[in-house]
Amino acid sequence: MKRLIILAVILLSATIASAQEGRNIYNKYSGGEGVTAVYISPSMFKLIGKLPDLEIETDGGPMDIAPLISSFKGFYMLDISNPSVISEINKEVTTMISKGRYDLLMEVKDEGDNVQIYTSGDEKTIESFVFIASDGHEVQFICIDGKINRTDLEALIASAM
Amino acid sequence: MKSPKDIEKLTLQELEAISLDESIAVPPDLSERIGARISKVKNKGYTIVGAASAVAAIAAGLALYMPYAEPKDTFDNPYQAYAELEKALTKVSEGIQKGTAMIEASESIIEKSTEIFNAK
Repeated sequence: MKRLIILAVILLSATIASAQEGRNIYNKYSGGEGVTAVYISPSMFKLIGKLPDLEIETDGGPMDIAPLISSFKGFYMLDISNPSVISEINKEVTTMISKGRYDLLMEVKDEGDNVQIYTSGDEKTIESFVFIASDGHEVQFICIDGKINRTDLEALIASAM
Repeated sequence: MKSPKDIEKLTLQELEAISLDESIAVPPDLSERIGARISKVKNKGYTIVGAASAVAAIAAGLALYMPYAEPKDTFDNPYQAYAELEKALTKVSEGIQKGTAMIEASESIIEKSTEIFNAK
């Protein structure tokens, strides 16, 4: 019985850990020198979902994004200009990716600008979306957690182009 | 009646002589009283170990949970939060556009190479 309880605690911790890596990185580096941090909670997303005129133009016509935004469980953004924090966060992201939960969606390297996009989830649902952009002087880390319909998120990003 | 300190001073031989002396009456419930005392000490030990384990488990749980504690909302206004989300998604889109632009540029190079190859 004791072994079952210990195993359950370990599994639960691993689940929580893997589900909250964006939050872990955010909690660790937000408030640091040379770091601008933004967090939007699930409760705030529910409020955003109730705003009027939350529509975007897609190829198939206007799309109401309120349900999509309400499905976000957390938005974490870090804008980092501190060189020591930049090198630490690069290591953190490498560790996060090495755990195997994230797939590389896209990587762009162009004249010192690097962009990497990772997602985790399955074919239809994204559980975590991670965007990292660096230009040598600054790094931007964006993580969106939730149970997000992949097609809807792609449409939302495309609408911002 | 001897005090515990006096009993501690007795030698092994003296203790053996006392135990063999049948004129000294052994209380009938002595075994039960000794057993009860041992159980009391054992239970106290288990309680201490249990309490220490619980404290250690709570401390470990907190140490594991704290990095994942929910941060405080940056905005208290959903309009500001949405504006920030839009800005972030614009940056993501720009990153993706850069990638697709590079793919399109490389496609034209590949097409030209294919034309040259086919012309031969």
